[in-house]
Amino acid sequence: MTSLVLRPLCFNSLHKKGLLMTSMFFLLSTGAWMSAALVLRSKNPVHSVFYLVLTFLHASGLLVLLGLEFFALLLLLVYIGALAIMFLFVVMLLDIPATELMAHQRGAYPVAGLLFVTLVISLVGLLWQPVETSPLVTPLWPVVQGGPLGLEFPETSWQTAAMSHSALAQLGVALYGVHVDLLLLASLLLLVAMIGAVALTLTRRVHAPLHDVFAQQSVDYQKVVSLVQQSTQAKTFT
Amino acid sequence: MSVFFFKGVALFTPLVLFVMGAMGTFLNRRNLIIMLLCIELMLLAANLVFLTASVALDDINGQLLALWVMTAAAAETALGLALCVLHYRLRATLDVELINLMKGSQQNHAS
Amino acid sequence: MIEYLGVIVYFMVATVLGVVMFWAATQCSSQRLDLEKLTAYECGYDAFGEARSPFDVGFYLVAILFLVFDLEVAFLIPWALGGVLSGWAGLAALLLFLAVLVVGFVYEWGKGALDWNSPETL
Repeated sequence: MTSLVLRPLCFNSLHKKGLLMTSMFFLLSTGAWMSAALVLRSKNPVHSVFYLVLTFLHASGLLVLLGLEFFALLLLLVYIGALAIMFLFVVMLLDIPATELMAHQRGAYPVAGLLFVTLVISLVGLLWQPVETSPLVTPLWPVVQGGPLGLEFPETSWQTAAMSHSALAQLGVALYGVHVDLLLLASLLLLVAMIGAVALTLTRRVHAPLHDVFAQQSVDYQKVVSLVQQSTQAKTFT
Repeated sequence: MSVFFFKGVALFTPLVLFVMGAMGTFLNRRNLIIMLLCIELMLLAANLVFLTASVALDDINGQLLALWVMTAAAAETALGLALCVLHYRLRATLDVELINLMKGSQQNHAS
Repeated sequence: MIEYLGVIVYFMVATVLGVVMFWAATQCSSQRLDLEKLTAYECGYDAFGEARSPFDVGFYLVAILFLVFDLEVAFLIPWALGGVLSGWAGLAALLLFLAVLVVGFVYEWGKGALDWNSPETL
């Protein structure tokens, strides 16, 4: 499977291979735009969530075209599998009446117009700005092979080292070897999300029926039955 | 990736998505959940920019940051939805126009 | 990229098949439109409330937990493929990452967010 190698890159071959891939790219980006517009247009939040799922599907198709299969699958798994489901749960949880869902649109049109002007300006800036090389490339392989100080690397060894591992393996090296601080910050962020969600939304359920499953399962029913029989015998004798 | 393709197409797609999300936040001021959806859209666009630039510049840092942005989006959504639930319990509405308790009551009556 | 040609063909066939089946279902079935069919039927009465019944918060909390551990696995996969090359320091970072998440899990468990009907949540 050729996608296991970080080549510079699949996208290049995409551009060379021409019509099918390029048209797929245009198709997917147009679909992403249209479903994003439908997210904004639809009156019902449930429909908005479903159109957001459609946007994520198109974006994951774009990532497949870029040659990033791991991120395409991650987008499907995390955004659609977890985030959209969570949105649906909350929309269902809140029981918003239909009259409020169908409320009329009102918005801050000057702010939106300002954002549109920003779009045009940034588009012009995008087409004028030179993007050839990145000045911030992380030196990956010195860290792995010789430590940060052992910088004896001829060009060929770096190239073979870079080509012999997949993009995901390089991502692992960058995440666990170079940018450990980002990893730990991410774990703290997830911790905040977990604890915050529980502390904010968990309440005591007052009217729920009380079942202690362990107590129910651990009843020794032979003792209970014999106790009842003794008492009934005592009643019949008196 | 040719420079024209990178600038003109591959970066233009997430740019339009981002501005759509930002404009939706201001145009659809009805519901807190829809505003959260628009923020999700903006974060998705940021993710796409990171990944496209990572491929175009042949740099692994973009993918790393994309993974991080995904984590941040998850945490932000979890906490935002928790706040939605909490606000709905307190006020029984999610209308953004009605979240003006900190304005004070006099301006409330005036508007 | 050419190895995804089968996926494209698969998607196209699935789309065409779905559209054809829906179209055939709308064309072949007999339809008698009636206004009464569109109303909600609730044992002869008019409908009392909304059809959407509110969910429990527990679903949302379980979804949060799933999301967090989903992302944890997404962070673990690069370690298994390439992070092992970074040696014991990488393993220590991984264990620290897991420990921070276990703290949150223990908090959620101890708070009783995972129990559905336990006396602790009452």
